[in-house]
Amino acid sequence: MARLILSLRGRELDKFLVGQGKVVIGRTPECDITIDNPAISRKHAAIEYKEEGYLLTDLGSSNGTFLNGEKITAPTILKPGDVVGLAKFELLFQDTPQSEVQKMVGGLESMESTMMVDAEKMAKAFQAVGGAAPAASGPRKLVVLKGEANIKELPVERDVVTIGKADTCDLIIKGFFLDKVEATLTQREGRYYLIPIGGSVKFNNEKLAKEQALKVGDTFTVGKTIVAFT
Amino acid sequence: MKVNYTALTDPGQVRDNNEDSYLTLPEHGLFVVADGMGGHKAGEVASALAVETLAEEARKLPPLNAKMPWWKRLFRRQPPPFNPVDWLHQTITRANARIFEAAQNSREQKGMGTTLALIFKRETAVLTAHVGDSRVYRYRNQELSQLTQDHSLAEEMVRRGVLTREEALYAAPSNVLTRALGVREEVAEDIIYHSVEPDDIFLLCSDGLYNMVDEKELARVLGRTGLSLKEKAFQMIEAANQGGGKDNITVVLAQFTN
Repeated sequence: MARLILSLRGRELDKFLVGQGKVVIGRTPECDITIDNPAISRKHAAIEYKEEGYLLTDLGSSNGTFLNGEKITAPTILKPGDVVGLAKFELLFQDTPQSEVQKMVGGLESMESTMMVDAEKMAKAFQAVGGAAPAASGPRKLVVLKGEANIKELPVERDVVTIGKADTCDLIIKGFFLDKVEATLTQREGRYYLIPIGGSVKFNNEKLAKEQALKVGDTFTVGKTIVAFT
Repeated sequence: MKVNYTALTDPGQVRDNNEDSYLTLPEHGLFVVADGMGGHKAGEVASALAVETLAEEARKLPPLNAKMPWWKRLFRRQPPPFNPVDWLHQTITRANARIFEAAQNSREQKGMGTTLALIFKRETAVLTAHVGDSRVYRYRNQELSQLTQDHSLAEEMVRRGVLTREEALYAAPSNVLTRALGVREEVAEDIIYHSVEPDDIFLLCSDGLYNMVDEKELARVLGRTGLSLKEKAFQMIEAANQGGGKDNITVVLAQFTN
């Protein structure tokens, strides 16, 4: 598996993934990679998967095919990082990390059955290819389980979320005896805290007097409304 | 609260047995799909064990529409607070232990496991719980949204920026899981709350459906007026079989109305 990044004068135009086949680059729409420019020949060059690697071939173009600045005279195997030049366009050749991951996770190409990957092996494989640390699984949100509020589901996107009767609150809860702001949900160092401000906030059926760290699945009540943190 | 639901399963065009299992317990607001894996038909055992454990535990709970006579309600003791998230976690842990133990005790069932995807109605919201790559979708206002994030190598690659989502559709291995029930001693399920609007349709399915049918097509089928849920489920399975039917296909549809 390889990736080709097409750019013109330093500006990225498109990205392509090349599998185990052949990719034809040229001016006409029949080509796999179409570059609509008069300096590009109708069928300009091809990149084909071979056992030894990806082979770059010039298909008899008028202006020639270049590899790292030099015009190629014979088919050449590409190395990761190579730049293929076609007139003013550039194609950067990259070996995708996916093949690296597959190699490390043990060549899992069986199409027949489902497999489970070893967690440690997978973590090591991702480290090797420089994959970013995974984002936390899904954004946090508040979901109203019972009672009335302005919306049923509120994604927690900001550092402070206000909950109360006032129109200016993020989560507006209906209730005659509720305060303008009954509570806030704040984020600190990756953890979420419910901070009671009014007197109608309950957690675990008890009136909440001081801030409470919330974990996914916890519920709290504001007046008669039950809200889940998920 | 009323539930309108349907469940259909089909072995597909390629496999000669069906290792998917499903459970519908409308009186408890619980719907489950499990896709088993393992040699020698052990997948059937694993997915059945998962579904049986959930059924057993759910039947111990009072039904959602339970009505107590007024005099009983006056004098009853405060019931212990029921936390559905804890209940799901404990039940899934039990299912994992049962499958893991059965796998240890049988040579043919060694290493067997199953995915799990379920919805559990609570008050005015719905909880999803899942392990693996079986999915829960919600169809609302002509849009289909995936409520669960797959525990698969493909999804992991997208999350870590190794592949984009479009690339992953055709470049990533499509059957490698990062989590499953019964394969290790511990299991880490994801449990999430979601809001419910009237007319929402929840779709639970194994990968045999979404790997063979485009999500746009699934949304189209769900949006067809005049069709019962059963007819919609049937059309989805048809579409999956026409697309190749390379795996077992299970579809559960549920709609909650007041």
